[in-house]
Amino acid sequence: MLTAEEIARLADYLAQTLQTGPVRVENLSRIPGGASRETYRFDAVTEDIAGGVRGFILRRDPPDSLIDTERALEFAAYKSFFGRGVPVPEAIALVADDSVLERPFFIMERIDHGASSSPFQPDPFGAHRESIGREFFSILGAIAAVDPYDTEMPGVVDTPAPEDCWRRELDHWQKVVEDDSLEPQPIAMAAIRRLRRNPPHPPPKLAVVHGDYRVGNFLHDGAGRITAVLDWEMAHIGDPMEDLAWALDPLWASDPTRAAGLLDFEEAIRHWQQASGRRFNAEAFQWWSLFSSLKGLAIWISSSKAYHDGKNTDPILAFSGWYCATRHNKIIADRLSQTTWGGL
Amino acid sequence: MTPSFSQIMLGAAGAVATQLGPRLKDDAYAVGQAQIIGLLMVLVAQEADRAADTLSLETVAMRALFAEASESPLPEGLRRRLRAMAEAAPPENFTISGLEKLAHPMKALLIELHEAVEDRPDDWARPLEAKCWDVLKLGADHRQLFMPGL
Repeated sequence: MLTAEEIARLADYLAQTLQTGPVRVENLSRIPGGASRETYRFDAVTEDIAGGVRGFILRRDPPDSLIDTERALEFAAYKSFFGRGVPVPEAIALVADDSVLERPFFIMERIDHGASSSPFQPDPFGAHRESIGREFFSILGAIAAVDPYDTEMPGVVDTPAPEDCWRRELDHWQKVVEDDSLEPQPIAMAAIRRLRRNPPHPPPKLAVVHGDYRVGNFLHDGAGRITAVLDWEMAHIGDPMEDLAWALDPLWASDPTRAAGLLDFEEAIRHWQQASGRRFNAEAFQWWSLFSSLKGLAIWISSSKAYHDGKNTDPILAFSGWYCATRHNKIIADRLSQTTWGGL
Repeated sequence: MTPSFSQIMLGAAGAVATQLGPRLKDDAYAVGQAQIIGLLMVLVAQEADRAADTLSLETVAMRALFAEASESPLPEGLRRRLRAMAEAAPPENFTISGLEKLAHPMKALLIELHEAVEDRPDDWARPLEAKCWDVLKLGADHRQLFMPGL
């Protein structure tokens, strides 16, 4: 929780940034928001803001997290997609040093009319499952439709050559597995070797890849509409099939017979194609879907290490480092044991 | 052990859900943390009784695979290490940490063996690759956890 001194500094910072005169920070509370950032909600109250109150979300770096990313990247992603047909909260302010709250943080608008749902709930959307599904895949298509050079992303992330997208991602996550494993990982290593032997065709065009687009990382209004896509901390420029494959990873599907637990697979792809203006590439998808399970496993291996080393003892890291790793090990083993000798 | 680990953990998870949870209802962060802690207790309840058994099954399966692979036309250095690991001394004790001390070097050698056989079209290599996957699936299957509805 923020200290009284930190809250006072935050109020001073907001007064300067919003240029509204004195600001009071009220109703501040920590909320669940994943383990990659500490997440707080609060009201900024001032005489000069129309209505006097604005609701904000503050995301502060924790001492250690599941995912080592720069908050500038996540901030740039929110700015890139605000007002462009992808529901995201407005990015308000970024502090990349420890001058105000001891650690870097950023502030964004709060979406008050939205709830999140866990992918591990048995039926997270009830009667609205299909309408959420249509929105889910259409919004993902809308992200893939945006020209990455027309966003702020090239200023904060590298832009790979299309033929290097797969290698860059695989190199990165292989290194995470190798650096963070507390024990030998024979299933992850088998997946890495299989992926290297079967590289995918490059995408015709690059796209901004959300990097963690899945059930659980958006808000919905309880009536079948998605109100905000969140958690852009792994955003990068790459192959849009990567996002589609991650969204469809079996780990996130409460109903494994449906795409992301939401829609018939073919209908999901149809919505994505319509919104993206791109064609679904089944061969590339096969590669990226195996990659997604490996990437998930790498993230869970990292969370285990952070928890084990005592750098971050949030119980969500123990959960993901254990349960999610167990699931992804089985997903990969079931898949690769059926396709021995080289195939995907 | 009476009450069993499973019974204790499930009882504690129930107390978190029914006794502590309702008192936290105005604090969304605390409610979320309590849910995760309760969930972890349910998972521990499933794993506590079987963890040592799973490790034992894996090491037995790896020993058998290494013994068979050590008779195949793999490089002599690898065959020698496979043979040595197949004949390794039993674990010092049957605690989970004691079993892992034996299993971890075996899994490292399994990675080497798997890599050595998986790309070879030879008649002797194909069954060995399939058996590598049998061992990996055995561990993955035995560690599956039932997730209660949140």
